[in-house]
Amino acid sequence: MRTEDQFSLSELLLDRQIVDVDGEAVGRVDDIELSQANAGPPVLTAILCGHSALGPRVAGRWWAWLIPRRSRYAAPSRIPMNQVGGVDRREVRLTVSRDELDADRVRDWVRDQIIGRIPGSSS
Amino acid sequence: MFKLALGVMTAIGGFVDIGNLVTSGITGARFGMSLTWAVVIGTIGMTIYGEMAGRVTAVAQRSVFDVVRERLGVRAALLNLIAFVILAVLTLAAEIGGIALVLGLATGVTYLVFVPFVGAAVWLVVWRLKFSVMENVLGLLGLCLVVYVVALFVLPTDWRGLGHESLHPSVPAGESTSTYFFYAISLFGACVAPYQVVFFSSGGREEHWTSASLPEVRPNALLGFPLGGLLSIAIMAAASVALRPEHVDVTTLGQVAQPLTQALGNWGLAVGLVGFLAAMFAAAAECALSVGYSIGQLFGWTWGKDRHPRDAPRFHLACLVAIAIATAFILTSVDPVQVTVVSVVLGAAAVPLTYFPVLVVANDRGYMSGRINGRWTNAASVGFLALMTATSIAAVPLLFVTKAGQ
Repeated sequence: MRTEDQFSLSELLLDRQIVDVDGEAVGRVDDIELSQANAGPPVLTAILCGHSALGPRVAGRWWAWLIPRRSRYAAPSRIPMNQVGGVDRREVRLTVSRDELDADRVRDWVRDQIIGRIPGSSS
Repeated sequence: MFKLALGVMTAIGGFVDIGNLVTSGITGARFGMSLTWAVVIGTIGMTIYGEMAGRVTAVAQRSVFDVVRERLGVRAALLNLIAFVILAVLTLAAEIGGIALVLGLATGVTYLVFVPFVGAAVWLVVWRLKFSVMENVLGLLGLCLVVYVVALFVLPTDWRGLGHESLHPSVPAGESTSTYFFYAISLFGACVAPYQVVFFSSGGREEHWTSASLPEVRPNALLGFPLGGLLSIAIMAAASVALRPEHVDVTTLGQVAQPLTQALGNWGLAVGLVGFLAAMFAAAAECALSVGYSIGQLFGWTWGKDRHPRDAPRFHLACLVAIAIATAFILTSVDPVQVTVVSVVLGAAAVPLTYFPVLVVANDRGYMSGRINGRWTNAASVGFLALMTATSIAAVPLLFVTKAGQ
């Protein structure tokens, strides 16, 4: 029997909006990272987000075929648990600014290569 | 008070788009007032849906596609998003085509010439114009469509006859039952447009609604949408009075405007066409934005028109790509009126996909604290869900059986 402070992964974390310390959107909890030492019990160490975390979850083997594991686009953004301040029904709040996290490569590429080049993009 | 009135008036203007113009025009000319019930039920549904989505936005700070991802899980949410985006782009194409058709009508030049300029203008509104300016200016100009009500008073309108036909619906002689119900579904789809709800709820986040905004937000849906529905009925009535006796088969926007010329001459037509342009232009911008909103919310990106494009790059890219695809599609010289009919019918079929998660969250105390649905709201909204689910099962077969209503 579960008590009131015990949750399944999807009840507490998966698909929830992540916001940084200033309330800026970071992404959603697309997957999680578990760590394990010497075949011991797994421990939740990070939240993963971005297409390379979501892709395998949705498309499984098809995704691995599309983007090989070793490609540099295959590494998802990691948010270590020690940067997570709290979780409620609506969102995951971080204790750091999103600028201190792994860069969101796709966002930065779209900004620098496409949107940033159109006149009026920053005024 | 001023803000309240402004909100209601823009909601009236925002309710009507090319879907309402085309379906009301066609059905008025072919079926008289015998499909009035479909507009009434569609408008009630849209009002319930809009009120719930607005309340969820204000109380829980959640828009439609936040709720879709959080309630349906990622796979179902993605399929849902794909269906929504395809429909929004199809509707966007219809609106762009419609604007170009009106410009063609006004100048006598073929409408295709205007299509690229219209696409560019819609993008400029999305890219540069302040949210409140866009909503207020276009919403108020859309009220020019009230000229249809004026026209009804000038035309030899048999009010008693129209009323009788509305209250005693039956399939008119010479029309098949399947065509009748096909157009009933098209009227539902024109009234309950998911892109409008996504826009309404996301726009609410852009305007920073909170629980304290509810007294201003709810009248938009509870008053503005029903008045918008009345405007659709007025267009249907005008078509019924002016076009039906001459057996006009409405296939162009010009024919939808014909009752205005008949009743009020050129100035009536001019005022009506300004209303057409404003309503379709507002709808085009809303469709384009709703693509960016839905994708941004599903993936948890920064989104919104009140941010500099550099700060929400993927949101703006999504809007831009949607406009480019819609414009290119219309340039293939497909008939925008046919695109409209197909888009409203498929739109009606897709309503449960976004409506259901909103209904679930509107009853969730974890999101809504004390502001969950009341008993009557739930009875009405569950009834409407059942109706729209039945509609969605019937829509696609009817689309084929009737060859899109021909």
